[in-house]
Amino acid sequence: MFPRVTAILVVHDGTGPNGSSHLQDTLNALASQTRRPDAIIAVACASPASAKHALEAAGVDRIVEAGDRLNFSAALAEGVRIIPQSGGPDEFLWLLAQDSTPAPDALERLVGALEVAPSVAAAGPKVMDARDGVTIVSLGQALTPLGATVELVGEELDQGQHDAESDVLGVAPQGMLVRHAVWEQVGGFDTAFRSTDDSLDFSVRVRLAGHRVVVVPSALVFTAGDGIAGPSRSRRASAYRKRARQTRGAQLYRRLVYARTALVLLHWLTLVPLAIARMVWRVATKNPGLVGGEFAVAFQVAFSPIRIAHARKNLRTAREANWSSISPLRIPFAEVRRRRLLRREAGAPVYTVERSDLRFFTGGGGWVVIASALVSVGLFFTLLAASAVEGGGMLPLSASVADLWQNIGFGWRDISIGFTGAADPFSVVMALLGTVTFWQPSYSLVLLTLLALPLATLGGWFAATRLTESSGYRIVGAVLWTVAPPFVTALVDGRPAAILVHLLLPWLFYAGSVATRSWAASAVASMLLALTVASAPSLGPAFLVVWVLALVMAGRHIARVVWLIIPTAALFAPLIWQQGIVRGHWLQLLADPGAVVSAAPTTGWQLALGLPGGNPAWDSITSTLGITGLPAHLVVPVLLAPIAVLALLALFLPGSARAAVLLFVGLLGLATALGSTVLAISLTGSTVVTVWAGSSLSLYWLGLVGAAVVACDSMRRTAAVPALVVSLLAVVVAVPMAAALPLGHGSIVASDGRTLPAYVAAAATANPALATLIVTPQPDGGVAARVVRGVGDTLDNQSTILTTAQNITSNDEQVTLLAGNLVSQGGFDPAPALSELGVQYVLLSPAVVEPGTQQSPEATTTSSRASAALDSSPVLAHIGPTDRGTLWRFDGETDATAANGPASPLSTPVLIGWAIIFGFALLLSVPTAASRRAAEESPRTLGRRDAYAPRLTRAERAERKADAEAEASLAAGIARDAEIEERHEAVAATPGAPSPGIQSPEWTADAADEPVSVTDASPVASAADVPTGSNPIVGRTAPTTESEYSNGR
Amino acid sequence: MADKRRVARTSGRMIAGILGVALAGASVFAVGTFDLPRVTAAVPSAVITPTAADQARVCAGPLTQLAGDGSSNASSFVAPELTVGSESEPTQTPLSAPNDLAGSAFGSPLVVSEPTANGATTAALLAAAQSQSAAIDDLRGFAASPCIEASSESWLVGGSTDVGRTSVLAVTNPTRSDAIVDIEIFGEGGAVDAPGSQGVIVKAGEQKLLSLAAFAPNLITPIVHITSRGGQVAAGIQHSVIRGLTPHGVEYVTPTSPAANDQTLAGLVIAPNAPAVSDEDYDDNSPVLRMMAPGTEIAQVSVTFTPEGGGAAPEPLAYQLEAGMATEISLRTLPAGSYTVEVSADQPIVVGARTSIAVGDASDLAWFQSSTALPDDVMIAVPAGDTPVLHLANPGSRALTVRLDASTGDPLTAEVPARSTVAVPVSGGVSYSTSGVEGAIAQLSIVTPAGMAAFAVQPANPSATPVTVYPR
Repeated sequence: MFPRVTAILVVHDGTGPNGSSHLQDTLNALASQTRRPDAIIAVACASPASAKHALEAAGVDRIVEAGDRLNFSAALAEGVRIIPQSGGPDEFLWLLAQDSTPAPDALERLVGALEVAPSVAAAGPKVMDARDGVTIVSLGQALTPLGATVELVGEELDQGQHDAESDVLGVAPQGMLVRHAVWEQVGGFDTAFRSTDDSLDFSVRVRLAGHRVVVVPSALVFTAGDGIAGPSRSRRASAYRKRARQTRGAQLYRRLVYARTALVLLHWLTLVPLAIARMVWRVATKNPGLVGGEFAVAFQVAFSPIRIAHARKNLRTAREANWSSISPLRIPFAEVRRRRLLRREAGAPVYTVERSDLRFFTGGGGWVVIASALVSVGLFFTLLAASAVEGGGMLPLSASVADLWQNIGFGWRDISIGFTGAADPFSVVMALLGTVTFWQPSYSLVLLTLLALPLATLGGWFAATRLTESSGYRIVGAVLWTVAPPFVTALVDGRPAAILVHLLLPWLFYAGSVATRSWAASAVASMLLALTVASAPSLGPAFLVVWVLALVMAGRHIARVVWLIIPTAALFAPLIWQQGIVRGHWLQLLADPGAVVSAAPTTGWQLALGLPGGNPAWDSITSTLGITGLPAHLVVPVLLAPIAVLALLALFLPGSARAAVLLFVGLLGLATALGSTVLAISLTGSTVVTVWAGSSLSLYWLGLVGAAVVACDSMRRTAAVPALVVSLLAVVVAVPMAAALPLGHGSIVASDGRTLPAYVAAAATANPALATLIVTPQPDGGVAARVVRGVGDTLDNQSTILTTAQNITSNDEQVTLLAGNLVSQGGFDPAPALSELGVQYVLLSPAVVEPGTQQSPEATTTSSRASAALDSSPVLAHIGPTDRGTLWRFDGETDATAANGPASPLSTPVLIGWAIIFGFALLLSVPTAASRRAAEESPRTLGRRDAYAPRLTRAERAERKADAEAEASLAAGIARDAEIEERHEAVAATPGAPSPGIQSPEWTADAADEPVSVTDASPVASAADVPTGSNPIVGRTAPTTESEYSNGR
Repeated sequence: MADKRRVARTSGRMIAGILGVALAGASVFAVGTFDLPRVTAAVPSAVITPTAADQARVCAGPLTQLAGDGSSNASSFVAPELTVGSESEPTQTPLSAPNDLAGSAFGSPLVVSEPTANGATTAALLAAAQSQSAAIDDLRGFAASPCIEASSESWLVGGSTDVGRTSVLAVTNPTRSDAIVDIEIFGEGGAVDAPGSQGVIVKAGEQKLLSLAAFAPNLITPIVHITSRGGQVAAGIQHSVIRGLTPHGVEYVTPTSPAANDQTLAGLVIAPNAPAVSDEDYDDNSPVLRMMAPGTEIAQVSVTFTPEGGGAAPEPLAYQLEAGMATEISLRTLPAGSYTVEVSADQPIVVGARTSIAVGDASDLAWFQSSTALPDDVMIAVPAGDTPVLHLANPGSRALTVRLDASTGDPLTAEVPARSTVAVPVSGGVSYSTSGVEGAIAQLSIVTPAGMAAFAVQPANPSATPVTVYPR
């Protein structure tokens, strides 16, 4: 009987994404078939009138109109419904979508395949990419033992290398020719599938119904990848995510449908745990965009029991063969691994840019770091044996790592009397730092000080590798970064936050500048940004500007740029909520964290020189030399001018764009510094302290030095002498400033890690809840009064909420009333107040002396008055003078619960939120083999003209890829031959062993999805279909579509 | 084609570069010159007015005569006359004076105390003063002293341990805890290294007499700095003079106001009948201003005199004080009269002054102290004596109308114009509840046939003034 072919054409809008007339092409191709279909039924799913006109003009027999954009399976069902019941085995259905353009002889060859073999129920063509016409999109599909879909051939240049294929587990939906009777028998396509796996699932059911499915490589159907039949082939990130989601959804759905009844519940229960595990895996493999989909499909599948039940019933009804009958057509894991390896090898050389060696030691970088370390030893000689450091902003850290981590997040802050609120994000930085020296957290600050210089050199060197390939200029960058005036000032003044900012900035630049290249870089940069802004919140606005500009420039990797700010935002969220949103103290968010340290006043001109706290070192030198007036002010500018000249010169040289960006960032830093000096928002005693400008000047210096290095790089060898001069002059500027340290003018000294008298510290170790009232006479004759709990102030337990609060709270009222009366002679009975606050000790600190002055007479009077009044108080016992002031003890009972505040319901959610976001960032930043390979494919430097990879056209890329594949498959072929040999020998050596082609242990051992029962007779897979000793698909390299979008970055 | 593109690229870069340099230059210039408005946080602070305490005044007790055996033992011979001014009935508690060989036969040191109502922020007004005439072989003259509050720090500007001069340091501890007292003595040669002067224990409720000469003999111009820990003490020096064999006066030296850059001493009386003064040697009959900068820096000092009741002011004096050196400035050139002396320096200083009056062939001396501004309401106890005068100096720019309600007799009123001093004749043995003296500096001087005495009226409760407390 002459076969009758009914083509079912599913039409959506009839055009491709760029307006190309896919439908018209398909209709034309149908018209020019050598064997025309006997009837054409078009299913128009919410199609525009133009599409319908086109269909009518082409003489389509029937047009079924559907109101919605039905998916392919549902649309086919609509189309098939109007065909009269199948009369016999020679009624064929030809499944087409608007973008499936068959070659003229496609139908003829497909029909031929079905005609000659009655056991074949479905035949698929070789699906080709319509855009270039030479790439194979699909030539048969299979499943792994765990049920994941595998394209047997995918994204390969068609050179006829696969034209011998025949029996497969499944075929692609585009251009599939299927017997109508079988279609009815197995129930057609399952409408639960979107555009993925619908045909594979159908093919599996066809196979289980006892029929065969084949591919006909000689029949070509070109697909434009509109996403109607088969997944969309769009290169957009959203399409990529959609494909991944649908693939996973289809896999989970099939798993529940195919599973043995007893195991369905088990599979159902594993859906969400597996989704979580896969989320972690997706993040670790740098595919954070797919995380949402994993979860979504798990829930979607978990909550579609009716569809699953229906599908299971359908499967059961039509099934005639055993699951084991199709197991030879599955791809074993070893094969999956081998394919992945081949794909990697084939893909590796395609995009590679020659990445130079790092040359850290050979280029001299290591030696500069060592030299810097030696200088550091000389400068901080007194700290070498210290266990803690104090002075300036240096305070000890909490005694144990557990205490450190308790001071982060949101909740009860045991500072002063205590309050419920957000911890400074800086406490997270301190917790991290303290954890480094977990045996004694305070020692980490000594280590930070000692290692600051070499670490700055190291950071500067690595940052310079982003700008130049020249070892010499990298060293120039490293040296200039190390001798930065704001950094040296921070070291002399003992400002841990500013030191950290200077150490973090080069790494932030190193990672942040390539954030669009890879997720790993983006994640690292995002965490570094969080730490940097936590150390210097005043840098926040500058980074926000840079971030917004980066967003504008980001292009298709915008998600990686968006992510940059997320950890910072999360870290600051509690503080922003409490200080900014609830209280409206937005400016106070910029306050420096940690101890409040006053800064010497500085002028705008000094800021432009990178001097955040005046210029005492050079002022004393010029005054010693007898230079006064303008010349004295010009010494440092003249010494530093060459850097500025070099930096500005970079604007005129090739590659000036990166210099322009760097200089812009530098100017942002300078502007921030200026803003910092007028922002007097931190309070200590009777004085107001401005935001420290040094952190922003580090950013300014980064821009300046970066641009100077760019200039050197652009001038090649010509710049050698200028670079040397610039470095030497910068060192000359820094030497007198740093000399303050060995000369003993620096603020920092070694300490024993106490801020309270040893007497109190000893008592506090036994009773951490005890409090000490510290009274400090102020220069104006007033007193500052603070309550300190336990062993005293720690750097990790400071709060800008407190240091910037301008109003008197009820807590403050209690303390001021108590302190005011304690320093006066009067009839006040301090015992109840002392008891209530838990104060056991009163410490009268030495009076505050303003820098450059003597102790004021008012302060002296207040000191003696306070001393006398405390002496005369009947409830206080005089203990005596200590190294921190004069101490009195309160002998009454104190309230031991004073230190404990209410638990905040927000504290746990905040910590969980942070854990999720930083865990996410950490997972993203962990290097994988793939991410390392990806990094090696990109140049070390940024924006260098000679480093650009030549732009390739699509055809060129495909060609290169094909060459690589050919090479790889040649190698694979050799390996396979060897393997076959081995297997033959093994089979020959053990007579009676089951044929490995039918029942290979490795093929079935891992199968968890489908119940596998071993049967000897397979109705479909005969020995002819499956070459003995091998499997039908070995040797094909099939990079999946995923590789193009995600090569592990 | 390629050349053209290169030219275009290069010139584009030049233009962009020049723009960039201009932008960078302009930004740096702007940063260097612009003056952004400052955002300055308001410092949170609370002015705490301390709860008022019970009031207590320590009276030094009778004049004593050193035993002369090298020890600090002495004996009293006449009881002093005590005047107490108060709003209610204060209690008087005698303190023990083990050094007084006469025991309590002629009275003893006293604490005059009066409780303050619970929770009151203003202390009860209380004042007391004592006076005594001596006329024995070694001791002749008139001495008066206020009863003072115990404190942990006192400056005593006065006394002498030169030949014939006796200075007995009386340290009284009225509190309930023992006081550990450090005595620092400065002389014309600087600080004196005095063994035994540190850590002197004065038991609770006791007075200790110490001969200054035992610590620092042959000092012409001692200045004594007393600091105490534990309990607080009231300190004073009994200064007496014998010239040849004749006693030439006695006086109590009471604490002057604490070291400060500006000191005011009201009512320095240069008596018309001043004793003859030798032109050759140092003569302690000559009126002097004794002062010292206790810090570590040289102090530039200027001294101005304002005559009481107007008139031409004498020329101001300017001096340079070495740190830690007690220095005397002779006031011999001042014409007779009463003066307000203002001393201002660039370093904290302490000052006191001494004048003498002829008593027959002999003479008597008086020590004046600087004092600080009074609050609006004070109690002034005028010790018994013939013609006491209250000197009220008004350094402010507003005239003061002062009302003195006498404990016996008619109330007095006085008008003190701005920046001038008024002498108010008051009655001996009477206390005055005084109002309207805010900001005034007061001194009492008493001239009797037996001699002259003077003391400053110090504001009460210096350690109970409102204090600014910063909670950060």
